[in-house]
Amino acid sequence: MHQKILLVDDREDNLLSMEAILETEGYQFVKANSGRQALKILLAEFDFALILMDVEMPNLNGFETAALIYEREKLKHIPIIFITAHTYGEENIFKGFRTGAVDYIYKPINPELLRVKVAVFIDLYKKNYQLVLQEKKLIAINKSLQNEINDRKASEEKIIELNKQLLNNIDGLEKANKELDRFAFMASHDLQEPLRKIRTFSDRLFIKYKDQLDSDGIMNINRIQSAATRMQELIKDILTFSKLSVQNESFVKADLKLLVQEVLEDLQLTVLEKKACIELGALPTLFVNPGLIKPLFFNLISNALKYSRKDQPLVIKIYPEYVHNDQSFQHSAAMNFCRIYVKDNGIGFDQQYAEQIFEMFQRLHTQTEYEGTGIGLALCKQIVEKHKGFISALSKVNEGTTFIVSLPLQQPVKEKSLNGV
Amino acid sequence: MSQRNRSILLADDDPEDLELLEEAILSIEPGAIVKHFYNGREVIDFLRECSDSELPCLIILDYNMPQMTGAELLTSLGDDNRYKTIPKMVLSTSNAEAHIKLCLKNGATDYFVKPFDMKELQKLAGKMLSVCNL
Repeated sequence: MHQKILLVDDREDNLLSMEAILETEGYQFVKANSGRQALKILLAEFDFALILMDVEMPNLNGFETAALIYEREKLKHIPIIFITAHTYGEENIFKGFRTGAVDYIYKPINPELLRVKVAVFIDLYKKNYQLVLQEKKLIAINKSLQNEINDRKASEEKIIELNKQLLNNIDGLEKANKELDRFAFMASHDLQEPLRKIRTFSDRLFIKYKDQLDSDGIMNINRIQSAATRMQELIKDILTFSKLSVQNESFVKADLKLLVQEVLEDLQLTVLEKKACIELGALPTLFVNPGLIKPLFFNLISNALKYSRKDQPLVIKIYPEYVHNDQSFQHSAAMNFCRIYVKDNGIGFDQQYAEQIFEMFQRLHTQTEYEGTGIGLALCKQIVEKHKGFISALSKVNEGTTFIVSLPLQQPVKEKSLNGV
Repeated sequence: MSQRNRSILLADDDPEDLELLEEAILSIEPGAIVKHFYNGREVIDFLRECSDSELPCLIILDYNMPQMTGAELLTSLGDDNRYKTIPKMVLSTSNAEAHIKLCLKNGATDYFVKPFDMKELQKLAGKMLSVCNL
């Protein structure tokens, strides 16, 4: 980049000689032969590194021109070297109204001195130019930093806002869930009332009029009765399910083997009927809610009893396996689990349904094939989750099903819920 | 046989349940006099007007009734010494432990859940009648 220098002199030969002296330095020259022409040039071009100006000029002398130049804000930074023949202190005249990058060269011009002085100013200009560039860069960096900070602040605020929303949502969901449970409880409770009437009155109808009914009439009453019985089962299961979410009993140390034995006693009749062989392993003593663990195993074992194969004796194995620091679960490393297997050699099911079976009202069989409400395993899942555990199923058609209940060996310290409920 | 020993007082806001229960009672004791009331207030008003010899030999009451629950009715009955010796049975849809406990605490002789067929209802009626000499 060539620095631009404005040369101002009313004599062409002076202009040429200045140009000749400085020409080797690689500057770009713009020449003006009067103060007015200089001002005219400066109207269109502001990017001069230096002005070399003769003081003695007709009409507008060098000082007057300089005064006019420096009136303009855009030009104030351009240094001026005055070329003068006098030595009686002209410099002081100009200094009177202007201090700054102003210097003097006395005639006759010493070429070396001119070159050095010009070089000093050009160097200053270059440095200044660099500084301006750097400043611009710094300002830009500053601005982008400020933007970044603003962005970050904004996103922080957004996160806080989103967090708040999330907490509100959780709160709302919890409330909705509770409402739903209460609703399920009330609904199923109130449904019992008319259902009892249906059953009792159809029973009364049957007792009173059975002699007058033909076989078709009796069959129809039986159908009413069996449909009503089935509905009663459903209501009973929904009630159990909703009570489970409403109640919050405390946990105690309990021998799971004893609890399962109690369940097996309740199921004794079915076990005998199915001629099932049950192998119960050494289950651990864990911190559990016995009121929930019993229905859990009741459902799992009932399931095994229900879905047995007709062509081979049913064997149900219930046994534990201890898992330490199992990382496959997204829990803290300090959490140790006990897996309890409930394994049967029944009809099994396709593994693709292994998740679906734990959903409410999900059934893989029709009511005529196997009776059921589709609530039992959903109940199991909820019970296990209340114990901060997991439940899963492995199954193969015609080979049997294994339910795996993973329960933590230590119950985590209860966290206080958000709303203190 | 005095009047008191023959009358049975039934309190339930559901007229159908009253009808079914009366039928079950009469199938066991055809001579019983069954009186229907639809809430606890009516029961208290009626009993207050009774002379000692007119008091019923058995009170069977529902839990969920308008104005006054079965448990509250039991408390009111417990306040009057004249009713102390009358057996009071609760027959309710609810099998909630809290309801059962409260009723027994408030002076119920026994608590039963309404059954789903006539045979069971008759069995229950028999059980309830067995505590009073009709």
